[in-house]
Formats: sequence, structure tokens, C-alpha cells
Amino acid sequence: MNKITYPQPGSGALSFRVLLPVLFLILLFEGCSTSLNVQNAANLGTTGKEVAKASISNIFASDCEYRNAIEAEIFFHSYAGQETPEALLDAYHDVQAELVARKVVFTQLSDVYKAFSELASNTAPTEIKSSIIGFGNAVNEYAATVNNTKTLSKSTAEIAGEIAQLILSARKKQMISQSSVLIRERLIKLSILLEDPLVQKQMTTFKQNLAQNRASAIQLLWKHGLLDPSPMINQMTTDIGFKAGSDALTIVRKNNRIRDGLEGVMTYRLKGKIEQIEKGYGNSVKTVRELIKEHEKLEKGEALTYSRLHQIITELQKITELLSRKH
Amino acid sequence: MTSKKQINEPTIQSIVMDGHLEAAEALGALSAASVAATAALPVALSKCETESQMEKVIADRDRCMLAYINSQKKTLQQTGPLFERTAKELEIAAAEIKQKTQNLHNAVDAVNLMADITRLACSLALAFC
Repeated sequence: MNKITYPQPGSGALSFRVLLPVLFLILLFEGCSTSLNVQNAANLGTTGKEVAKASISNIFASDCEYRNAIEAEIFFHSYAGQETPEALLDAYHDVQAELVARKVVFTQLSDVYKAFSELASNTAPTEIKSSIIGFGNAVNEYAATVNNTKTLSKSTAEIAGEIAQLILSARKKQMISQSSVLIRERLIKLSILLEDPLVQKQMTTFKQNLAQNRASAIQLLWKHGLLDPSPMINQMTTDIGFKAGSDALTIVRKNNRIRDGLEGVMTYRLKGKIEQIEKGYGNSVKTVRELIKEHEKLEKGEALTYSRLHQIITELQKITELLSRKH
Repeated sequence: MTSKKQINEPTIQSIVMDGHLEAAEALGALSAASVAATAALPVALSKCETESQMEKVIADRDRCMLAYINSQKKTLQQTGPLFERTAKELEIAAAEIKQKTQNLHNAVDAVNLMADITRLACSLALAFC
């Protein structure tokens, strides 16, 4: 029976000579995509997820906003001695259901960025190095068992591991670049869709109508003296050390000037909330445009400047906070 | 020279249209009307003295709101498919990127598998030594 022969331990130097040109070729190949910064890609993934989340809060009416508006609608009709307007409520429901279904676009956008982040922070290139070395050790163990020799020197296995790491790193960068293009192309389409004047009106006007319903119900309750303005007085004066007195409500009810003054503040706040809806939508569209620019920079290997994007995201978060703030 | 006589009486205004009203503009106008009608409700209702007056106020406001909301429903049918398509494309993109990540893992898994197979071969070879 023929005995299998394996290269002697000293042959690692030969392997090294063979591997060097390979290493050179790999480095050359990797050079095509070295400009792409993997950490920037991971950061862009995180930012993309933030944009998707902030856009959902700004573009779509929350369950709470919707419920408040419907309750306001019922309140007006019951107040006027009318029956619950079923046809109108059904129409509200249909519109809300259709608009909520559109949320899936942003949920998917968030998923896309989650996958992009995972790709960018993937540790496979590092893992493959130890895997190759592990494989080399396994081969040596096998050779030692059957032939009592080692086939691969330690340095050869390590070089092979380095090469595998370089190949996979280059492949990963290429994949990140391809994914960035994939996302950017879809963001362009999303941006065009969101900038469509009809889509813009559909999204903002419904939210505005819901907000106005609630605002009018609050104003009607106020007109009947049912609301205690003490928290509002507190907000207006707390920073300089005052708070509403225990008899504030009685005084407000008796004093028309004070009541009108507070009503003015209330109307201003309610109006402000409605006006913010359009601004919130506009900012969401801006963030999508900024994301497109950042993807272009990433693909070109340019440094990413998140300042503008983060500024818009912060503005978006402020608007969300303002719209959901419980005064 | 005689100064122009100021007219303080309410005047009738007409909206001049160029015959081309975009759906977005129409929807915006209907929404503005329904928001204005709802905004006027608290004052209008609190001024009503009889239930029939309130009924009239509510009915007028509801007409504005229904006109807006029914138009909204119609226009949503036009743009709904565009959102569905965009969502689908994003879903496909997410799947493609996940597949790329999986491919990276597959390379590591393949090497690890080879190492495991070699170790198994090593244990089997021992049986023949």
C-alpha cells in the first residue's frame, strides 16, 4: 500500500513564497474599495434607523392622537344633542387605516438600516483568520496522526489566515458599497414619493384635522369653565419662582380679562401644535434627502458629515416632543 | 380732486380659476375649510340658544368635514399602491443585505466545517494506526 507523503516542516518557506504574490494580488484587489470606511457605514446604519423612527412619529397620527380626535367628534355631537356621526367616524377610520398601512415603508426602512448596520459591524473577516489557523492546526494534527509530520508551519497558517481576512474584508467592503447603492436608490424613490404634493397634503391635512378636533373640544370645555388653568399658570411663572394660588380657578372664572388672557395662550399653544405638523413632515423629507447625500459620500470614500443630518433629526425629535407633550 | 369713496360694506368675491386644479391643491383647500369650520365650532356652539341652531351649526361643519374626508379617501386610493411598491422594494433590499451578511458568515462556517471534518478524519485515522 502506498503511503501518503506530506511536505516536510521546512516547506513553510516555499508556501510563503507562493503566498506572497497572492497576498500582493489581494492587496491590489482590496485597494479598489479601501476608501470605504466601515465604521462610517456602521454609523450611517444607526443614523438611518433614527431617521426611520423619527419620521414615523412625525408623519403619522399616533393611536392617541386619533382616539382624542374621535372622542372630540363624539363630544361635539353629543353636546349639540346629535347622535354619534357613524358615517363620519367610519370615514375617519378608513383614512386612518390607509395611512397607518403606509407606516410599513418606514418600518421596512428601519429594517434595511438594521441589516446594513449588521453587515458593517460583521466580524466575519476577523473570525476567518482564527478559523484558518484552526484549520491549519487540524490538518497538522491529521498529518501527525497518519505520518508523524507537520504539513504547515505556524507562520504559513498565519499568513493564510491573514490572506483570508484580507479577502473577506475586501468582500465585506464591496458588499457594504453595493448595499449602500441599493439603499440610496430606494431612498431617492421614497424622497420623490414623499415630496409629491398630493402625498404631502394627504399626510399633513389628516393630522391637522385630528389636532383641530381636539383643540376645539378643549376650547369648548374651557368656555364652560371646566378646565383648571393652574398648571398653565405654573408653567408661565415657575422659572421665576411663582405658582398658581389655591384660589386661582375662582379668580379666573370671575375675571374676564384674566380668562381672555389665558385663552389667548391656550389658543396660541393649540395653533402652534397644528402648525408644527407641516414642519415635521418637511423635516422628515429633508432627512431622507440628507441620508441620500451621506450614502453618496460613503460610496465615494469621502468623510461623512453628520452635523446637518443630526441637526434635522434633533429638530424632528423636538417637534415630536412638542406634538406629544402633555401641557 | 375727489377722494375715492371707501366701501365698508361686505363685497362678493369670486375665485378666478385657470381651469386646472391639482388634486393636492383641492385637498388642501378642502382641509383648510374643514379645519376652519371645526375651529369655529366652540364659539358658534356656545352662542347657540336653541338645539335647532346647534343642529344647524354641527350639520354645516360636518358637511365640510365629510367633503374633506371623502376626498382624502379617494386620493389615498391613487397613492396607496406607490407606498406598497416602495415598502416591497425596501423589504427586498433588507433581504439582499441580510443575505450578504449571511454569505460572509458562510465563508467562516465553511472553513470551520473543513477543520471539523479534518479533525474527524484525524480520529478515524487513529483507528487504522
